[in-house]
Parts: sequence; structure tokens; C-alpha cells
Amino acid sequence: MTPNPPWHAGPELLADYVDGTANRTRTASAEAHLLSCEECRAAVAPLADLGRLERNLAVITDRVDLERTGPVERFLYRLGVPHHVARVVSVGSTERVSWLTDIAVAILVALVFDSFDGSEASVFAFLVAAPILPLAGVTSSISFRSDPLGELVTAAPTTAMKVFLLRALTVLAPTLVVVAAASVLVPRLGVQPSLWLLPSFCLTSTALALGTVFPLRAVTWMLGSGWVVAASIATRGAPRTDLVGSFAAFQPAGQLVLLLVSLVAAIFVARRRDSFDFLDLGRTA
Amino acid sequence: MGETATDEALLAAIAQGDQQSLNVLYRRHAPWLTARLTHRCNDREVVDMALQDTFVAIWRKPRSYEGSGEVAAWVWGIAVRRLIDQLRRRPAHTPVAAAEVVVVSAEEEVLVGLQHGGLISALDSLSPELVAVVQATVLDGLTTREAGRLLHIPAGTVKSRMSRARVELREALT
Repeated sequence: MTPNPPWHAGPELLADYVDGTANRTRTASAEAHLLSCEECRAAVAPLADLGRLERNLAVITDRVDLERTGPVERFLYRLGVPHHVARVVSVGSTERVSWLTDIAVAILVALVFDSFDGSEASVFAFLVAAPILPLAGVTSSISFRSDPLGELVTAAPTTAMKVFLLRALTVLAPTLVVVAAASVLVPRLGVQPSLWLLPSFCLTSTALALGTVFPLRAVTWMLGSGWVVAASIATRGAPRTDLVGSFAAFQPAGQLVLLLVSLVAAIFVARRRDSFDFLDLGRTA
Repeated sequence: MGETATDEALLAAIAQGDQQSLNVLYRRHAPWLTARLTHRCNDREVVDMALQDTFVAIWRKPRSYEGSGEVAAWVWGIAVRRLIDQLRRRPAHTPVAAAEVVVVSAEEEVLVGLQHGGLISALDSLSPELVAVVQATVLDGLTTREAGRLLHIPAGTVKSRMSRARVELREALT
């Protein structure tokens, strides 16, 4: 029984098949034919429920996106972090790993130096250098040169402000962990390793606040170098054994001032959050 | 990969990580797959999940297509197995048995006669539970065990029904 070429299922059979109203014989015939006939397969498409197909495709796209992501993002997603947040946090994570490495190396170097000569100078150098790293890390993480975040901001269902803050947090949070670990590992240093925390919060939040008005990169350079210059001026002529004690930023009163400045800057940033949507995208992209 | 690419070319592009090609493949095959899966299981939700699993599986292993035969048949092979996986997670489900009463009109006999006519007409002479087994093993290409899962019967029963069907088909065709 050779078919007259070319045999096709025909619109009526296909419609009945999709509706489920074709009987068994016609159903089997349609199925056998569909497997081998591209033309008839295409003819089924207009009969399908388009909304349902698109919904299924959306689920597939989400799942495939998830497959494409790195382990960090998948882990966050499993923890219940919403998809777009997980993406924002983990995108370009290799970049951030290098920053974290820098910070960890800075801390380790200071600790090693300290354990060799126990000098005040090495601790002081570390305390001054440490706040620069998060500042540079945060501003570079949101200035769109180093990773595909620029693309992401335009696509993410969230404000640019949220993206910035999330990124800033993901840079700052691990540094806190590292420093806490350092304090625990070398107890005789006491709270000294954590003295750089408030300066770094202060520098970073001030940079963000000023960044809503001035170019972020320029602000970052200015604040970073200003901090180093201030440290060297304050300790000029001070005894080598009391460097930390002679820089006001590391004293209780100075730390309190830094905390206040951080808060003011944070409020300022929160108020000006809309400006992030335009300023940094336009300027540094 | 554009809309006009062959299925094989789309699979090659998917293997390179081209998500757009997966979308093209989906739009091409999802409509008939949905219809065919619905004939095996009348639970919309189960069918949707099986369909989703199918294309995620294709995304993961596009190279498991060995380059011979219709891509559509390969896709169906994945889809029906994903359907079985979905059904296994829901024991309460009752599969669609080929149980409707079939009255073949003369007109249909002519139509069917053009495509696998003899065999399919002969199938109609079988009882519904035998047809279901033939459909699962011969037409859907499932193993005895997989067919058993789809139809919710033991693998041994699939085998015994299959041999009964074989005998009856042979009689009907001669």
C-alpha cells in the first residue's frame, strides 16, 4: 500500500487531532505522519494555545538562564533570593574575587609584618590602606567598566539605586568577615584591625553621596587620596610607636565623627536615589 | 540561528550555547508535542511540566541527538520519557487509555489507507488495553518498563499484552 505522494494530514484531521476529537485510527495516523512531516507539524502551530505555549517558554527560558549561571548565583537562588537579585549580586563575580583577594592580601601582609617586627608602622599602614580597597571596589563595581552590569541595569526589574546598593553590600559584607576572622586569629591585636571599618564606610558612603552630584570616579580619587594625605599629615612628627594613636580617625571621637558623616551621607544617598538612574549610567558607561 | 535553519543546525547551535536557537526549536516543535502529550495524559499541568522538562533536557544535552533520523522523533522520545517521569511523581494520575469506541467510517478507511493504513486498521480490531500497549511500545518507542509506567501496569503485563497483540495483529493482517 504505497501512499500517493505527497500525503498530508490535512487541516481537518489536524484540527480534530489537536482538539482530541479524532478517533483512535485517525489519531494514530496523524501522529505517525506528524513525526515525519515538517509541513504538517508547522500546520499544527496555528491551532495551539499561544498563551500557554508562551508561558511554558517563559518557564523554560528561566530554567535555562539558571543553568547558564555560576554556582554563586544558583546557590543564592536556592536560598530563596529572587532571581534578579541573585543575578545582580553575582554578575562579574570574578572581578569581585580579585578585589577580595586584594583586601585579604593586605590584611595578611599586615599581620605577617606585625608578627615579625610587631611594629606600629605596619599596623598603621594597613589601617590606612584598608579603607581604600572597599572604596575602590564599590565604585568600580558600579561604574560599569569592569563587568556587564551596565546592560543588566537597563534590564533588571529594579531601580539602579537598588543595584548599586546590592553591589556595594556584596563587596563590603565579605570584607567584614575577613577582618573579623583576622581579629579572632590574632587576638593580641585586639580591636585594632577593625578600626578601618568606619573610615571605609565613611569614605564609601561619602563617595556615593558626592557621586550623585559629581563624577563618581573623580570623587573616588579625591576621597582616597585625601584620606591618605590626611593620615600622613596627622602623623608627621609623631613617635613611631604611637602612629595609630595620633591619627584622630582611629580615636573614639574621630570614629564617632566618621559614623555621623557615614549616616548623613547614607541619608543623602537615599534621598537622591533617583539621580542614580541617570547620572552614573550616562557618565561612566 | 534564524527561523529557516534546519532542526539539525539548530541543535548544533544549541550545543554552542545559543539560546535563541532553543527558542526557534521550541516554537517549531512545542505545538505538536503539546497535542501529542495531551493524547497520552489529559492533565494540562503534567503536560506543561513534561514539555518544559523536555526543552531543558534538550538544552542540557543537544549532542545526544546522534545525527540520524528525524529530529522530531528524537524530541518525542525525550518528551514521552519526561512525561513518564512527571507521572511517576503523581501516583494518583490515571493515564488516558485508548478506550473510546471506534467506529471507522468508509471515508476514514480511505484516508487512513493512505498512511500506514493496513496496520492501523488492524490495530482497531484489538481491545483498548492491547492498543494502549502497542501505542506505547511500537508507536512511542518506549521500553517495556517505560510503557508500564506510562500505563500504570507492571512490566510483565506489558509483555504479555504485547505478545497477545502480536498474535491478534498477525491474524488481522493475513
